[in-house]
Amino acid sequence: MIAFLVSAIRFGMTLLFGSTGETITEKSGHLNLGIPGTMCVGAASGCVAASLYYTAASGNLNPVLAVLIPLLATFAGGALMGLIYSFMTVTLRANQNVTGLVLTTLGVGISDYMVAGIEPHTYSSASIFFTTSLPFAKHLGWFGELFLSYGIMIYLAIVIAIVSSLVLNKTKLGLHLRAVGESPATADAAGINVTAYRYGATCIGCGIAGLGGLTFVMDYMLGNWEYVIDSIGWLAVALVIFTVWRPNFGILCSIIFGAFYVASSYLNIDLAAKALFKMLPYVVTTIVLIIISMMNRKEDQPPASLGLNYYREER
Amino acid sequence: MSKPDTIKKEPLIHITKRDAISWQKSMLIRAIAIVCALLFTAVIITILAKQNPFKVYASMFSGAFGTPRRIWNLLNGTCILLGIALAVTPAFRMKFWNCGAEGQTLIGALAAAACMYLFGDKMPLPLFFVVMTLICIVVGAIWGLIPAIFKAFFNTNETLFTLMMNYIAMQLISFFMLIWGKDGSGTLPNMPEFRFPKIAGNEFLLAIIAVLIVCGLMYVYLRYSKQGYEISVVGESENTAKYIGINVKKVIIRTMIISGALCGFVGLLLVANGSCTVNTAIVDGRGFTAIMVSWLAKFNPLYMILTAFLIIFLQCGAAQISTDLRLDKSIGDITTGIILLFIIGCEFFIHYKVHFRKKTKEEHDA
Amino acid sequence: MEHAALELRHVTKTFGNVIANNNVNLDLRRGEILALLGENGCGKTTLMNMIAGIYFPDEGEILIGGEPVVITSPKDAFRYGIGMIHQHFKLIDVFSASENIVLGIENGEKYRLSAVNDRVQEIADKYGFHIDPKKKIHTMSVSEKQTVEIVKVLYRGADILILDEPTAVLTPQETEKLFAVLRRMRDDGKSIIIITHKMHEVLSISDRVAVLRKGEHIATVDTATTNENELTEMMIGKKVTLNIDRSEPKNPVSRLTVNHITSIDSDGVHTLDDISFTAYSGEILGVAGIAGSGQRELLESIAGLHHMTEGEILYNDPTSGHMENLRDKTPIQIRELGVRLSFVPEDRLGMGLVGNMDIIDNMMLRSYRRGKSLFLDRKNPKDLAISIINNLEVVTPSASTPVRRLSGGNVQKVLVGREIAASPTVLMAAYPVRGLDINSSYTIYNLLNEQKEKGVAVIFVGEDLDVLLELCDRIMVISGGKISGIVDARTTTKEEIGLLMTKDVSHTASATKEETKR
Repeated sequence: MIAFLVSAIRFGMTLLFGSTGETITEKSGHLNLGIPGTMCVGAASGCVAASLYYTAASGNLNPVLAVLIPLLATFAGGALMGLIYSFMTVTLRANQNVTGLVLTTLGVGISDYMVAGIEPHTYSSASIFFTTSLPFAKHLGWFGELFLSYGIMIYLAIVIAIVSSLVLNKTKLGLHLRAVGESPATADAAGINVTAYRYGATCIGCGIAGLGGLTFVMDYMLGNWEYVIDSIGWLAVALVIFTVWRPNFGILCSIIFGAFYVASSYLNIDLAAKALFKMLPYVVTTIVLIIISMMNRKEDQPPASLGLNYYREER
Repeated sequence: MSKPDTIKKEPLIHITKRDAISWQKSMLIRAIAIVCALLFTAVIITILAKQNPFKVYASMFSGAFGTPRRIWNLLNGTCILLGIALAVTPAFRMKFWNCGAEGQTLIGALAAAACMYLFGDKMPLPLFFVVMTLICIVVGAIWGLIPAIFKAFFNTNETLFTLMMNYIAMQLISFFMLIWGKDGSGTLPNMPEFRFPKIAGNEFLLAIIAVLIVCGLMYVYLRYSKQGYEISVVGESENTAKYIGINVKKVIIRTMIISGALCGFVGLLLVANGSCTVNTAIVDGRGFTAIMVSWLAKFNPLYMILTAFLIIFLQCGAAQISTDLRLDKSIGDITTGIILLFIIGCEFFIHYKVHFRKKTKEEHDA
Repeated sequence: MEHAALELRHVTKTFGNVIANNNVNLDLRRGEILALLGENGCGKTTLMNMIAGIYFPDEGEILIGGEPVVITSPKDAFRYGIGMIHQHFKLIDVFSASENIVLGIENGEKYRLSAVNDRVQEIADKYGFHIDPKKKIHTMSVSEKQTVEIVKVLYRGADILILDEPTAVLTPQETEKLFAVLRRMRDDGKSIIIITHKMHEVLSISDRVAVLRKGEHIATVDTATTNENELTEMMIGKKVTLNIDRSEPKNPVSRLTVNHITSIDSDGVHTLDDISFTAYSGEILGVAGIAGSGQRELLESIAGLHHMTEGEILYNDPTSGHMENLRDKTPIQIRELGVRLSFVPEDRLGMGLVGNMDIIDNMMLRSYRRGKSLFLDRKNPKDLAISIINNLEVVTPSASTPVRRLSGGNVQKVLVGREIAASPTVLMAAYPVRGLDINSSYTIYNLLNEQKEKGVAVIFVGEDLDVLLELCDRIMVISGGKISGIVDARTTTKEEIGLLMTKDVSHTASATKEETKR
């Protein structure tokens, strides 16, 4: 049971990066369907950076740098995807859905190419530092295992989710961002730079989402690249709906999603039933989507201008 | 209030909407975009592969047109993609963002394989083909209908809903593959005995003809039928639709049934005129690529033949590049992605005019 | 000499081919209320939007305190102490009042919502507003929302306030309250521009009046030395005799009888309150009222587009002599009954026509269902399009030009032409000459008159009282969703209608509104 929960949490936190990132992006009014591609590119950038560092340090890795360098590279890689997305949709006013889908194709391609060019052991050796947990966790029984046994990325996911939630709800920055996503015209009239907020939120959100890809490779897969990051990206997009656009609530939701995803490995059921189990997150998300639209509570709706570009001087 | 600064400044770039642009000019802009994209990818490939870009383009052409087999593959690929693009088009014209073509096609493919597996041998082959075709179309239609009902009655966000339906369809396929995969391998057997017959000895011709017919029908439907007209009105302005008494809910549901049914039909072609089995990768993202095909063609079925061809050509060419130059096959995705970004980006210059500030002595401020 | 608070010099703004403002010069002194007067569509709002940074002028300059400034965004405007209260509220539905008020303010202070709440309450108390800072906008009534908008500007401590038709949605009492606040702010040294086209308000609140006509600045005069006639003359250009032909109605028969219809919107507000009247064949029934008094709901109820909670609409069929109740019928059902009802809605491109479709396809909107064929008949619509283009002198490159590319007057000719082509027995037109030039307007008046002479019952919702007085046979005035009077257009006066428009029936309506809310 504990092992199941631990596994659910580890996978859930991978998703949490993606959903927090996408939530921030969506709060600005950008329905970024490029998130799966972004997570791929993020993960690949991290692996390439880890590999470069490995070569530079001739295999003698400093634990802090071995984590920090891939982390920053991942964020930068993700943010770059966000920058392309914003340039297309804000500056060139392109359709958001189409741009996002192209970026997913492009991102998957780029990441495959990047990873194909590097030796797996050069980046997987950094994984050990990502999964290192607190030294005393082992001595605290189930408590230690359940709460303290994780690598740094898992805690980072929670911290980012909580910070994002606080920023969105308790600061003026968050207020302005939500305004931009609800009604850019109103925000604009209030003197908020819609363009800057959309660029900023999308780049930061994509950077955070990228970290999800890195967590998957370095933590959940223990340093092995797996060509499924894009499908995890779609799961993260689903999770955003499941969380009703609330990153703090997302911590719990992501664990539930994680549980759905890993449950099949811990349940004594046949393979076919496991396939059905993997369907659950999507089914549940669909039901949530239906329920929030039926209840029609203003507070639970997607940002009102989600998916719509904004141009000021049109008449 | 802060003391206003008195430096005179004008916006650096000033953007205005174009009133109308001639057909030639808009085509010119698109052509320039494609040329720019090709130059850009050439630079990238040169850097990555340290190869002469002309060699790269040469191998691209050979990948697409090198042998009769390649040409047929190119045409077949174009038609499948065109088929899905045609399917999403009525929904898109209605501004219903159907991102679920992938799932609707998958479920159609699953239905075809299921028919083959479950009762392929229980009836004469011609009758079986008819039954299978009908079942695939109905199943695809149902998959499209579900999000449409919720959109019509509760205004549920269709983009997110249809996206979720894709993955539900995918997992359903894994489920049935495991149930029916007799040897426990989790793959469905090949059932070539139930394949659609070849026409003139060619295995692709049937699909190509079928899709081209659908393309013609779709063009006529959208342009000349009353239902097609209603779709346009709903897409352009729901208020106008209500004003003239169109039942918007009915149009949404009807259109998505058509969209889903067509996807189901393409799924059928993928199985019964292709692999004769089903797996989760059978549609391979074409449900999404089709959205691009439709959008780039401005939702005009006839232009879609061109855009679908362009994209498949790029993909075939890119696949050849990767084998010829021993590059990773992902280079195909990358080139396609970049070219599409350029084409999408160039639409801006078709719709808007950019004015730059005339250089004057005024100073810039931070 | 002290500089004016705000000056506009040679400001010009065009949208496509339309000149919204042409070479406008205007100045606003410190500590004054300047009324900006002009007809609908004369460029008042565009001009103010340039000051508020929503639009950027094509030519000319803006001076604040004598210094030329460039306002490229609303943020710039705030920095120069300019605050604008838009006609359409710029509020975010899911935010609370305070969150909306504090939106966009960057003063380096730490953001604490409770502190904002206190400050908002403080301002509200000071000026006597009633506001709950924590209340979400989507649960507020229209006047509450306006209060939030005004407090928003006050919160920013703007020196220059621009109010775009603030009284259009207010009851007379609320208007008086607002004016009191504005006077207090003026005495505090602030400069205020108030956009309005209500003469009595101009005279009661302003120190000076600037008049715009067709995008041009006509004059600025002291309110104390002017009068209604002079202002009207400046606004309209000449003493208002429009010379619209008006014939006597020929054998009027009751065609449409509306009995006690009531409609309540999602906020629980009575948009229509016990409306009863009869429209006769061969006459033009004018409908006057302040914008948003229920005109739209009334016409849409008759057309089968708006749900009414009570009442009935009886149509007297001229061919069969039957009475048909149109209540709860869809537009299609109404047509299937053989009711020939045409409707020219206020929102031409968003409702009456499809902007991206060409003239031919727009002709089909009404008629495309005709016949059993699955396919469209484009032949008849094309003939109709061509005949409308020729008869009404629509300026267009061809019949296959998207209507969005046509100018406002031509768009309206296409729409009215189509509605009349259906040979209606009842023709409803909402603000059919809004934004049209004089020539186009007369074309529309003539078309309506022609219909009247053919025995059609015409219902004309207008805003220009002079037009209503000269064109219509009877004028029905509505105020706050209620009928405040039906008068004979030949004998009544502008003043009488003006009084009816602001008659105190709206007070009871707003009282009901409060009750339903609880």
